[in-house]
Amino acid sequence: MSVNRRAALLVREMPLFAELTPKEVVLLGMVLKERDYQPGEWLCREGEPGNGCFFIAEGEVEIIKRAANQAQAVIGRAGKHATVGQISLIDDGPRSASVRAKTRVEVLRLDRGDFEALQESGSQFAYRFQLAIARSAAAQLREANQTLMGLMEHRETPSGSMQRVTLQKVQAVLAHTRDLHPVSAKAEGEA
Amino acid sequence: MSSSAVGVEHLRQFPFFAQLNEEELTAVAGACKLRTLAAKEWLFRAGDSGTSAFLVLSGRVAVLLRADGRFEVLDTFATGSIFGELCLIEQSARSADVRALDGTVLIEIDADDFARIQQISPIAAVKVIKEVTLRTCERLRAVNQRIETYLAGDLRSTSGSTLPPIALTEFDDLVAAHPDTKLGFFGRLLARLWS
Repeated sequence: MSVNRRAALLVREMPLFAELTPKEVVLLGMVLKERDYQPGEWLCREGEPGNGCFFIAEGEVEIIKRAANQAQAVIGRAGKHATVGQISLIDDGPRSASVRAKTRVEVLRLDRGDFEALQESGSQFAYRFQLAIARSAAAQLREANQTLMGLMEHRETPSGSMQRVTLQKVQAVLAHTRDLHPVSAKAEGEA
Repeated sequence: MSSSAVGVEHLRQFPFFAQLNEEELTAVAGACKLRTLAAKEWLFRAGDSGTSAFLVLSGRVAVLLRADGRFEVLDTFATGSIFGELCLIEQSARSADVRALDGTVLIEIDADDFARIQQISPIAAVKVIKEVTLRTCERLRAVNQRIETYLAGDLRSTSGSTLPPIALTEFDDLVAAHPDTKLGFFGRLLARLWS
């Protein structure tokens, strides 16, 4: 039970689960599996089936995508209290990116079976947990949009007003992609 | 604009609620309001706080962007569409204007009303949030796909037809290293966004 107690302690620290009751934190701690990764170790690989997601308790990971042939690029980073790997847990698709430990990383892993059992329990805990997962997916979508925006801005000439208008349009399209939520404070400021 | 009761039969028309049974639909219907908009009536403006999701029961709305002193239509939502559903999980300001193109009837789900559903039927609330999450992931995969295409294009244009393997490259370096290709890429990406 000491492992579970450690997991519960880590869960309690995570802002994502701030709305859970103390009893729910203990329950979640019993379901989640604690695991450590050394720098350079892979948490999951792009294209593989996704059998669970990871809540990062400590350390930093890199999100890596294959570009072409053997080429790979780091498209993002995630640190303490971030969630990674939840997309394929939710939609049952393959991993959309690889995740590799940059530092020593301590994670809490949620397996698919436990996630599904939780969803079907019909409890208010299930609702709050589903809400937390939904928010983490929304946060990831915001981040992905930012990454794409970053790519586009690098392509932008700083002076041309024509391009600035075009950029605004792109931002609006991206905002639309995420259901009429603002892309970023910067996008709002420029609009 | 007017409000009235929403029935289970209204909700059944949306694939979004396909996983909910009669009892669960009844719980959700209790949190919904009917909104009627006349043609050209505004639903909300950019900057308004977003507290509701909308389903189009009949008619059509347009998502508009003010650019260069005029409005451009970014997209339209017709009967059967849902929009603004991320408001059910987190609230933030609207980033575009939305107005009715024709006479339109919408089902509005206010986030606070929705939060009360979980007291009556937690499983109905879980199913709705699960659907919102699925749609979020769909969009996320689409954006990731764009990033991937972008990366592939960047590598192709900078190294010609023979592509040497590039060891884990920092994203920013990858992009900043080839500023001369900027407009070509931007244009291609734009074309992709609008196609």
